[in-house]
Amino acid sequence: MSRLRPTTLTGGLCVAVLGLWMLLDDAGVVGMSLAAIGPALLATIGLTLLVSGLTRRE
Amino acid sequence: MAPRGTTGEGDRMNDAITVNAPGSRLERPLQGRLVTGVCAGLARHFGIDVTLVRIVVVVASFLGGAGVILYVAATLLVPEEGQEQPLLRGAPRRGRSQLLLGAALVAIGAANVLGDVGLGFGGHTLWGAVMLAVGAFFLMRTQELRDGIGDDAGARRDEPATAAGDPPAAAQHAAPHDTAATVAVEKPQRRGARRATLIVLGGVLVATAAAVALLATLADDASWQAIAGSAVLVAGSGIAAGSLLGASPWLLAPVLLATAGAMALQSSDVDLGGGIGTRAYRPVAAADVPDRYHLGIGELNVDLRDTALPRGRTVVHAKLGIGDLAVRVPRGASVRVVAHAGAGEIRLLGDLHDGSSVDAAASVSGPSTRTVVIDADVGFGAIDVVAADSPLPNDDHDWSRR
Repeated sequence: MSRLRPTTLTGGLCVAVLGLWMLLDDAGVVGMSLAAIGPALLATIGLTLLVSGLTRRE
Repeated sequence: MAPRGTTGEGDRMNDAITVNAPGSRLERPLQGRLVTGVCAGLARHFGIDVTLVRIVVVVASFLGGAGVILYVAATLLVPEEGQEQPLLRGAPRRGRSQLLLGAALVAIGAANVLGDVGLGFGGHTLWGAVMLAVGAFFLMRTQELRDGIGDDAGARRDEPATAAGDPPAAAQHAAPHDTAATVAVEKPQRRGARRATLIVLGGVLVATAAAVALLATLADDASWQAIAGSAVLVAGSGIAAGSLLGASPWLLAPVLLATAGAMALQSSDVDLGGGIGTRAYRPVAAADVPDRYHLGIGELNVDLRDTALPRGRTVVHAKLGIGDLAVRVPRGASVRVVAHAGAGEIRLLGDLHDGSSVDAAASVSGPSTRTVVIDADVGFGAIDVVAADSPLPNDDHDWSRR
């Protein structure tokens, strides 16, 4: 097997957080507006790309 | 070597006709079969009437599709007459996972068709089953890759990396002196990453299916939002865990897309209950107006122009998840409209409102003492409320009376 992929780890954790957010919204603990979804998704993609760039080997 | 229990052509014919030869090898006979010979084979094996077996299978098919699933499984696992191996083992190993996926999807599809008439399964169970089948497919492909089956690179994996004539792309970018070493290391690594990605993809699909099935089973009243949130949480955690195996980050792309769609639906409070399609209503009496007009996805038209309303106030609720909702108000009555759209536009008697989370209200006074209050709600899409003498946006429907 290959070694740890930080990019996959970061993206996976971000998606898990989004899932948690959905559950909390459904439970009424926090809110989820349409305006907040775009930035959250962009943040997920941005963080994943950032980690990808930082860990890329020459 | 002839398979145990096989006979000559003449005897085969006799078997097919007389059916009963208990104790013989379980196989799917070539003669006397209706589809793949499972029922005929079982009847011959147990020495019972084939019609009885067929009736049992048909009845079982109406019990959640179990008969169909078992029939497909038996087709794969029971060898055909004259064959040593069952279809599954006899198939080329390269195509075995595809064969299983195809069979699983056929079984799920058949069960779902039965579900449409209330005899099989559908909804969450259907999608769970599909995810389970696709997940199993990827896990099987992983096994095949490990065995070097169906891997295009497999045939050449042991060749020297510097084989003349067609150097691999990685070698073209490497320095001349270390080309061989670079390629020799990168090829197994790439294969390992591909295998890990398939393992994680399969594992994530199976785990997500299990979570959805568990939640749908344990909590009857679980909302689709709770089920979607759980699925996203499990999928994200699975991918994060898969990073330890070296799974590719490209796994995130489809999961993120699906997550974005689910979040968008959830944030706009879309209610997908009520079905999919076009619904058109033109009630004549107030008694024909239901407590609520409701549709999940599609076009919902409510034409109240000829509705004989009682004196006083009548409230009409119309709710649509995704699509276009159109309401034509009654003649002569006073009208009050309250409308909400999660995202889209609202046209109330000529006034346009659009954007996300749109709320709008309008009132029109009429000559009669009758008042109708229209409560219209759309998750994604458009709401049109028009006067009694104005055309509806989708006025080409064959109106059903209600």
